Amino acid sequence: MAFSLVMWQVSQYDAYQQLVNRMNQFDIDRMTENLVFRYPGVEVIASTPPYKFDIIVCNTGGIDINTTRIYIYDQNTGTMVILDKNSTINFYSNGFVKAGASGHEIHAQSNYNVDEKTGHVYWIKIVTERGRTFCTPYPLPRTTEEPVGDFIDVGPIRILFEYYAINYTSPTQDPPGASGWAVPAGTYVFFRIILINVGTDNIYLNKPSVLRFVGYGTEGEGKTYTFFILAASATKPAGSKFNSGFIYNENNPYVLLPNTSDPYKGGPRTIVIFGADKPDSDNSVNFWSKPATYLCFIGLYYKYKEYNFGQTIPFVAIRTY
Amino acid sequence: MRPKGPLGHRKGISTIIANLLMVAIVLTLATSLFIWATSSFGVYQGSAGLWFSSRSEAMRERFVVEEVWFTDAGAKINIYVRNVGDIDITIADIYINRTRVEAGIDPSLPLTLNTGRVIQITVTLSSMWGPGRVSEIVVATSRGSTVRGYWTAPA
Repeated sequence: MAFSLVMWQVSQYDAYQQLVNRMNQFDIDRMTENLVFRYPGVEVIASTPPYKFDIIVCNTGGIDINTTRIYIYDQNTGTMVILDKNSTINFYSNGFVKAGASGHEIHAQSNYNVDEKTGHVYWIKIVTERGRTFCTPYPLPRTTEEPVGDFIDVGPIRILFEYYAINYTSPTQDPPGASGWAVPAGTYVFFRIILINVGTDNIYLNKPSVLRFVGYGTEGEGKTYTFFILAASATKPAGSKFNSGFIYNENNPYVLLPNTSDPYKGGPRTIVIFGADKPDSDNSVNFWSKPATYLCFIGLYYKYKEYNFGQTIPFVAIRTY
Repeated sequence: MRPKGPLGHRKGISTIIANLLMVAIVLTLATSLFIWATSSFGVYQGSAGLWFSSRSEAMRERFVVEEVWFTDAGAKINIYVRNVGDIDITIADIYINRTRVEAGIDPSLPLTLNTGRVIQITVTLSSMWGPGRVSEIVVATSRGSTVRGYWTAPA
C-alpha cells in the first residue's frame, strides 16, 4: 500500500512537473516574442473611407508571432479603435509574423482615419496570441543614427546639409564642382544638391522644381534668381546658353530610390542639378555682378506613391564674391 | 513438583492454542493497522490530489490586461482582459489603486472567461480619474492568480 502511495505520488508529481515545464516553456516563448515597428510605422493605402493602411513591423524575437488584436488610440480625439481579425468593419489581415520577418505589412482597414496627415498622434498597440503587447506612437519619432544637423528631412525626402551639400559648376568649374557657400558673382552657374529618399516608394522629380535665391542686405536687397532643375547629365554651363541635352525631361526623370529594408537610413544619394532660367529652357542663370548675400529655398515638385506633392524648404544662405 | 493450573490440572497451554492466540492477536493488530493506514493514506491522497489539482489548474492560468482605456471624461475605465492560458478562468475581483471595486462593474463579477477570449470590463468609478494620473489596476481570478499593471490616464 505504501508502495502504491509512493508510486501514485511520483506519478502525480511527474504530471505536475510536466505541466510546470510546459507552462514555463509557454512563458519563455512569450518573453521571446519581440515585434519592432519599422519606420514609417504606418503606410496609408487608402485615405478615403474605408481607410486602408499597412502597419509595418519586424519580428526580431526568434519565434513566430500570431497577432490577435490591434488597438489604435487617437490621442487628439480620445478615440479608441479596435481591429479584430474577424470583424467586418475594423479588421486586419496578414497578422501572422514569421520569425525574422522584416518589413512585414499587417493590412488594416478601418472606418477611422489613421494617417499622419491628420496631424494627430496615434498609439498603436498590437496584442499577440501569447498575451504580449507591443505599442508605438504614430507618427514614429525619428531617432537619428547620424549627428543632428547633417540633414533636413521633409516628408519622404532628405536633403543633406554638410560642406558639400551645395556645389556649383561654372564655365570654368568642372563637376563635381566647388562648394557653393560662396559663388562668383556675375558668373553662370549650375547648382548641385544631394537628395535622399527616406520614404518607402520611388520619388519622381517634376520639372517645376527649383532653387530660389533671394538677395538681402545692403547689396542685392530683393533680387531674386531662380534655377530650374536640369537633367542628371548636366555638367556645367557653357555661358548664357547650355547644351540643350541638359534640359530636364520628365519622361526621363530623376528617380530617388528608397531603402526598402530600412527606409530611415535612406536610399542612394542622388545629385540633383539646377541651372535653367525656366522649364524647358536652355538659358543659364547668373547672379548679379556685385557681391551680395542670398537666402536659398528649395522648391520641389515630385510624384510619390502616385500622388503629386510640392514642398518649399528653407535650405542655405550663400554669398557671391 | 509442577504447580496446578486453575482447573486443578498440572498442564500448561498447548502449543497450538498459543500459536492460535498469537495469530489472532497479530491479525487483529494488522487489521487495525490496515484500517488506519487506509484511512490515513486516503486522507493524504485526497489532500495531495487536491493540492496537485488546484496547483495544476492555477499553473495553467495565463491572462493579460492588454489595454486600459480611460473614458467618459473621467467616469469610466474600460479594462480589456484576455485569457491566453490553457484553462478557462473566473475573474473574481478587480482592484484599482489597492481598493477592491465592489460596484459599478459591467459585466458583473465573477465572470468566466474562456481560453483564447477577450472581454471588456467597464468600471464606473465612484470618483473621477484624474488626467495624467497613474492608476494601479489588479485583476484577480478565483484560483488566486493576479495580473497587475500601471496605467496612465490621458492628460
